[in-house]
Amino acid sequence: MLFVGVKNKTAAVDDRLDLFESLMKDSYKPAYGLAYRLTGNAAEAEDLVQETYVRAYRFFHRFDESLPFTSWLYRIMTNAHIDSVRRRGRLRTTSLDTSGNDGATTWDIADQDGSPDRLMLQNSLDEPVQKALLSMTPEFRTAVLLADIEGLAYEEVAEIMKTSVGTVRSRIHRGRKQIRTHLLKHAPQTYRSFCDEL
Amino acid sequence: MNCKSVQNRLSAYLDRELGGDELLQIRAHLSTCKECRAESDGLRALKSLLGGVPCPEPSEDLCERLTANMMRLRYEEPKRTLKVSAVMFASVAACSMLGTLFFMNSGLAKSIWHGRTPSSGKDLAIAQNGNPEAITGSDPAGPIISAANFVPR
Ligand SMILES: [Zn+2]
Repeated sequence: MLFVGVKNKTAAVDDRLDLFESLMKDSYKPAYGLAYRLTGNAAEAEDLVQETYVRAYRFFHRFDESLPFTSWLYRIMTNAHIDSVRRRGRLRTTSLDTSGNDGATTWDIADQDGSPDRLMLQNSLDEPVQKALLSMTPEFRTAVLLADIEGLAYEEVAEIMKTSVGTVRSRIHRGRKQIRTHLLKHAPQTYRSFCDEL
Repeated sequence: MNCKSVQNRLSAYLDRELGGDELLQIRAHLSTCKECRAESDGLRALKSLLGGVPCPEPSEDLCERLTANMMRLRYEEPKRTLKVSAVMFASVAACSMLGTLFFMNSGLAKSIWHGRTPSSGKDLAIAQNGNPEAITGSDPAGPIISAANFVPR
C-alpha cells in the first residue's frame, strides 16, 4: 500500500515533467529569439536558453500553472542574463562582429506589410540596432526588448522584471532614446531613410 | 503640460500606456506643438523599427539538446533519490506503525534520518512546498545552478 502511494506520487511527478517538456517545446523558439537579442550572438544565446530551462526545470514546482509559462520563463531568463552580465562586469562585444554569418543563425524574415525598400532598410539596420542594444545596461535592454520585440504591456514587463510600472516606463523611454542616438551616430543615412519611408 | 513633460511621456503615449487626463493633455499639446510632434514621429519610427526586427532562428538541434538536458536531469538525478525516498518513506512509516517512539529516538533512526538531512536549499524549498517526492536530487557535480544562488525576484 505504501509503495502504491509512492508510485502514484511518482506518476504525478512524471505528469508534471511531461508538462514541462511540452511547455519547453512550445516556447524554446521565441525564448531563443529573446536570448539572441539579449546576448547578441548565437553561442551565448544558446547557453542562455539552456541555463534558463535548467533553472526553470529545477524550480518548476514553484510555477503557478494558472499564469503564462513564458512570463515565468522570461523572468528566469532575464535574471540569468542580468546575473551573467554582472558576473562578467562588462559585455563582450567582439563576438558581435561575427553575428549573422556564423552559420548557426538563420534570419527568419517574415512577410511584412510595407515597401521592399523599407524592409531592406530595416534589415540593414538590424546590426546597428543589436549593437545599440548591447551598449545599454541589461536592465534597459531587457525592458526595451520585452516591450518592443515581445510586445508586452508595461505591467507585464514590470511583473517579469519585478519592478514598478514607473521604472519600466522610464527604462523603455530612455532605452529607446539611447538606441536612436546610437543609430544617428553609427548609421545616420540608413536610419533617416528608414524614418522617411514611414 | 510643458514640452519637457510631454516629451518624457511620449514612449508611454505611443505604447498606449496612458489614459485619462494625461492622454488628453498630450494629445492636445501635440496638435499645437510642432517640436513635440516631430519628437513623437521620431519615437514612433523607432518603435516600428524595433518591433520589426527579424527573429533569429535557433540551430536545428537546439531542441534535441534541450530535451537531452531534461532527460539527464529527469532520469539520472531523481531516480537515485526517488529510490532512497521510497525506502525512507517505508522505513519511517513502519516506525510510526510500530508506534515505537523509543525507536525513533534510537541511534539507528538517527543515522537513517541523518542520511536524508537536506543538505541544500532546494531540498528545503521542496519540503516547504509540501512535495518532497519531487526531484530531490542534489548531486554537487550535476547541478549547473544551485538553489543558493537563485533568488527569484
Ligand atoms: Zn511641445
